[in-house]
Amino acid sequence: MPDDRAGLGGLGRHVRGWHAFALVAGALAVMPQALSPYLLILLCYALIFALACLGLNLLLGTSGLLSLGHAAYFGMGAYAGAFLYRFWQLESLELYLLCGVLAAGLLATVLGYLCTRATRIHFTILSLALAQGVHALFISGAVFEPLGGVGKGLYLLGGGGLYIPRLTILGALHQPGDFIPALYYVILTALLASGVVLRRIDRSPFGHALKSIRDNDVRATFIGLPVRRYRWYAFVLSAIFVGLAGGLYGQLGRQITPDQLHWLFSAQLVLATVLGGTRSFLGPVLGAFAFVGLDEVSSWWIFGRKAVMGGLLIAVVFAFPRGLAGAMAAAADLLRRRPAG
Amino acid sequence: MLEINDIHTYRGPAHILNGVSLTVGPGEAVCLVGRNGAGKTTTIESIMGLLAVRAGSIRFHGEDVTGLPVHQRARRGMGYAPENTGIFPELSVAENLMISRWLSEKARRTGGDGSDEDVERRIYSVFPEVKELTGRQGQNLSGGQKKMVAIARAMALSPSLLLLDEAFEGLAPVVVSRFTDAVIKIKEMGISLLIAESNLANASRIADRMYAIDRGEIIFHGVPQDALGNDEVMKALRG
Repeated sequence: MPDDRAGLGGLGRHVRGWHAFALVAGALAVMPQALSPYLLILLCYALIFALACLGLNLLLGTSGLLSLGHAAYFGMGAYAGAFLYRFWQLESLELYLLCGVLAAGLLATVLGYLCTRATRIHFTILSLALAQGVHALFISGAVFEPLGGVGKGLYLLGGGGLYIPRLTILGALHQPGDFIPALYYVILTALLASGVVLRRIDRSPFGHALKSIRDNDVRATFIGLPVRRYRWYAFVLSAIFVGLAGGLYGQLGRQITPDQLHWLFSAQLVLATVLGGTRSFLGPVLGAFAFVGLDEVSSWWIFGRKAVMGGLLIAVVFAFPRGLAGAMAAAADLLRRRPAG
Repeated sequence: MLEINDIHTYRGPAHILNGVSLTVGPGEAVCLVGRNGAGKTTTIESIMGLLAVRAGSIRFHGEDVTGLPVHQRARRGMGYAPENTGIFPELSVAENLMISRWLSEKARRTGGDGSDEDVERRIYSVFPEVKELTGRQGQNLSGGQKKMVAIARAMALSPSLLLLDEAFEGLAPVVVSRFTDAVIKIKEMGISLLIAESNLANASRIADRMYAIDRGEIIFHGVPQDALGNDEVMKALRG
C-alpha cells in the first residue's frame, strides 16, 4: 500500500499541510469551552491515546516492526514520576513528564537492544515477553521491595498501583474545577508538538531509511544502512513518545496501575493504530479516536460490553479494510475525480 | 582495488563457487561472463557480503573485508545494483536516491571516503532521464527505468567500485546501447566496475578485461577478443 504523504490522500491536497493543522488545532483549542466536563475528559483520553498510537506507528508503520510490549513504556512513563512524587515530593508536572520520558527511553534502550536482535514474529514475541517481565516486576511487588517498608506498604495498599496527585502546571496549582481544562491544553500541546516532530522524522532521510528497511532489509544493507542499529533507534524513539503519553495518562487518571503495563494494553494500541491505517501519518490518530469512541459506545451496554466492543471493531475492520485513513483517502480521490457540475 | 582469492561459497548444501579468484584495478571495467547458473550472481553476492564465504579472502583497497557486514562494505565504497534492481517500490525515485546521498554526506562529514563533487550532477550526467522520474514511485517504473535508478542509487553513495549484476538483461537493443554509453561514462569518472553478464557481445563492448565462469570455476581470464576466439569459453557460454 503506498505511503500517504499528504496524510489524507486527495483531501490533503485540497486543504494543505499547515492550513489543515492550524484549523484542527484551532478547533481543539476551544473544546474546554464547548464540551461538558465528562466529554472533555473523554477527549483528553482520546488525545493521549492518539499520541501513543503515533509513537507506536514510528515502529509499526514506518519501520515494519510489530511490538506487543509498548505498554511497558506507557506505564513506565507514569510510574517513574509517581515514584519520584512519593519519595522526593516532586510536584511539577513538567519534571514528572520529563522523568517518565527518560525512564521510558532508558527502558526501551535496554529492551529494544535485545528485541532488535530478532525480526518479524520473533521480534514480536520477544517484545511481548520482555514487557510481560516488566509487568511481572510491578504486579509481584518486586519493584517496590528495594524501597523498604514504605515500598512494601505502598504495594499492599495499591496492589501495585500508585496514586498521582494534581501536580503544578507551569508552577501553578489548579483547583479541581480548573485542573482538567489546564491539563487538556498540556495534553493538546504535547500531541501537536509530538505530531510535528514525528512528521519531520517521517519525511527525513532517516524516516525514508526506516521505510526502506521495512520494505526490504537485505536491500537496505547493500545501500549502506545499518539495519539493526536503525531499528533500535526507531524502537527507542517510539517508546519515548509512548512514555510521554503514559505520563499524561497517569496525571489525567490520577493513578497508574500494572494494567497499563499488560500486553493486552499493547494490543489495544496496535489495534487502534491498525484501525486508523499504519501507512498514513494521521491514520493512528483517526484510529485512536475511533477506538476510544467505540469503547465509549460499548459502555452503554452494562452486560456484554466486551462482546459489543468486539462486534463494533469487527464491523469497522470489514467496512474499512485499508484503515480509516485509507477509506478517507479513497473517498477524497473519488470526489476529486468526479466531473464538475 | 578489489582482490578475490580462492573463495568458496555455498548456497545451503550446494557448493557453488569452487576457488574463484579475480581482481579489479582502479578505473577498470571487468566483466564476469557465464551462462545462467554458472556462479556469476553468487560471486557478486559473495563480494558484497550477502553470501558468506566459507574459504578464501576478499580484499578491497588493501583491506581484508571478508568478514565485514554488508552495510560496512557499502560504506567503504562498494556500490551494488542487483539483478532484480533492488529499488524500494513504495518510495519515490527521489527518496530512493535521498537515502544514499544522505549516507554519503554522513561518511564525508566523519572523514570517510568521498569527494566534494556534486553527486547529483554525476548521476544526471550518466542518466539524465532519472531527473524526470524523481516524483514517481519505484513500483510505477518500467524495467529499464528501475535499472537506471538502481545504478543511480548505487552511484549516490560515491562508490569507488560498482558491482552490476546483469545490468543489460531484459532491455531492448536501443536501451542496451544507452546503458553501454552510461557504463563507459561511469568508468571515465574513475569508478571501477565489475559486471556480471551472460551476453558476451554486450560484455565485449565495455570490458577492459574479462573472466569467464562455468560451474563455479574461472575458466578464462583475458581481453574480450581472446574470449571470443576461445572454443572452451564459447562452449561454456552456449551450455
